[in-house]
Amino acid sequence: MKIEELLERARNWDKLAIAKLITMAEEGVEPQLDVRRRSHVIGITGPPGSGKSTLIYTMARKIPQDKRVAILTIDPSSPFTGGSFMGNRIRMQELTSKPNIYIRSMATRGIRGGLNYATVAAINILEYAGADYIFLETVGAGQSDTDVKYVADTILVLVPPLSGDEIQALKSGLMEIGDIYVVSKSDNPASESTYRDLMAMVDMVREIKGETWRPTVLKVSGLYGYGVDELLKVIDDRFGELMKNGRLDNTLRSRRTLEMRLYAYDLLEKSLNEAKDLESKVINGELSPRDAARRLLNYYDKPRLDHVAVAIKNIDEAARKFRELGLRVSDPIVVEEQGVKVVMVMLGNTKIELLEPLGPETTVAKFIEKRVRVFTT
Amino acid sequence: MPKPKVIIAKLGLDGHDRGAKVIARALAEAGFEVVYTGIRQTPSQVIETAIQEDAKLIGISILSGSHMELIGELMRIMRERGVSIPVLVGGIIPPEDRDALLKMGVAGVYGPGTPLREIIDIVKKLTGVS
Repeated sequence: MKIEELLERARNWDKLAIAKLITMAEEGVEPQLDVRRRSHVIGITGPPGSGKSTLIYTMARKIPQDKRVAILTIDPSSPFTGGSFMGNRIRMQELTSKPNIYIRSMATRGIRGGLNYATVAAINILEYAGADYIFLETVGAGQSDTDVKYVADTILVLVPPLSGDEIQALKSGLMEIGDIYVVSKSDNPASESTYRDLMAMVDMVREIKGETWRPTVLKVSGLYGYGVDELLKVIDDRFGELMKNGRLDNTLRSRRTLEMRLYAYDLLEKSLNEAKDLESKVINGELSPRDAARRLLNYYDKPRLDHVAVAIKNIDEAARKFRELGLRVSDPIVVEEQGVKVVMVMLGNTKIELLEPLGPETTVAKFIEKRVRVFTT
Repeated sequence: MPKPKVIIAKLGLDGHDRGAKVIARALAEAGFEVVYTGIRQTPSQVIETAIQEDAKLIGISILSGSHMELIGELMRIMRERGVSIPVLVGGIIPPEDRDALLKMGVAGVYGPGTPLREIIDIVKKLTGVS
């Protein structure tokens, strides 16, 4: 099936077409999409086991069926085999047959382990297909998860109960990107103290980030559905705000630059894999590791030919002939101290320097006397 | 380049998921992107999952004895939806049902004791991975 036909069908929420387009994006095809903002992209992040999949399931189930909901769920790839065991769907399978819901598992692939360029492309495809909500579930580990802020309009950070020290650990990354902080699994009685810890942490981070940063903090149980209606209301109200103040287009721009950055990482990884000769030079000590890295990225200029000097008897005649060939030729310059008249002929990335001796006693005249037998003008 | 996506699913009222998880894990180790659906899936859920994931193969594990009905239903829905994805069946399948399943269009039936290497090889072959 042709890409134009797939795009046409994807517009009608044809899940088969959407799935094929996402696969193509994963395989490196770059569909040219005219994306107009219409989807609320919601990033869901938080440590492994914090209840991300379950919360997405509960939210998606409560969203009215006339709204199109897309769920992208990211699982880690093995850096050694490239394979991935993707189990996030287990918690959401009940949604699979609902006509308004599309779920896709994506592996992190690549060196960085967070989002990859295909994730960004998938978001574009789903927005193009007319999704009202796009939930993006991250891997839930490490700093690379903060990339989600460049693609999502709203970021939910999940914090499970009994993670007092975890909140401290979150501070460096996730505590700074959240729009809504959710104490998940709040059917657990310990969630009350986690909620208080989280409020205290938000106050602390606000001292650094400034008074305008006022994230919502909520207690939710994905399993029993407590607090989910309230959460959805906060999400929808926020989308209304973002539409009004025009901030949705900011995300569209940062999505484009993120895709560039992530694709560059991918290209870098490919060239690293191919740079076996540099690798062996590093191993045998011929190059330092950093020197080799700079070479890989072409930090050093390759050797370049600046010009070739040609001694000649009649420079004006030669210049005329080069001009006739359509080349750019400089005006003649007389260099008394060298005893020559000089004309430069430009050849794109290099030059020919024509030299005519000013008198019979000059170096160039003697050179011509001794050597030139073939080229005469 | 990661290998194609495959679905591993448990069909019907059957909670014995150890075998399915072992197969899923082995295929992931062999470089495949493996979506595991979990237990108690209906045939239509499995087909919908395969469509949404653009899967290149479906692996079904059944130990409940309802394989004839469930696989029949699975193959019927697949035809109805106009897709054609190879299906492998594993689990407890009596030898006398094997041919009937193959006749339904199943690409292979593998019981307990099949070496993982053999499973990986057949999945590679069916998904066009050399």
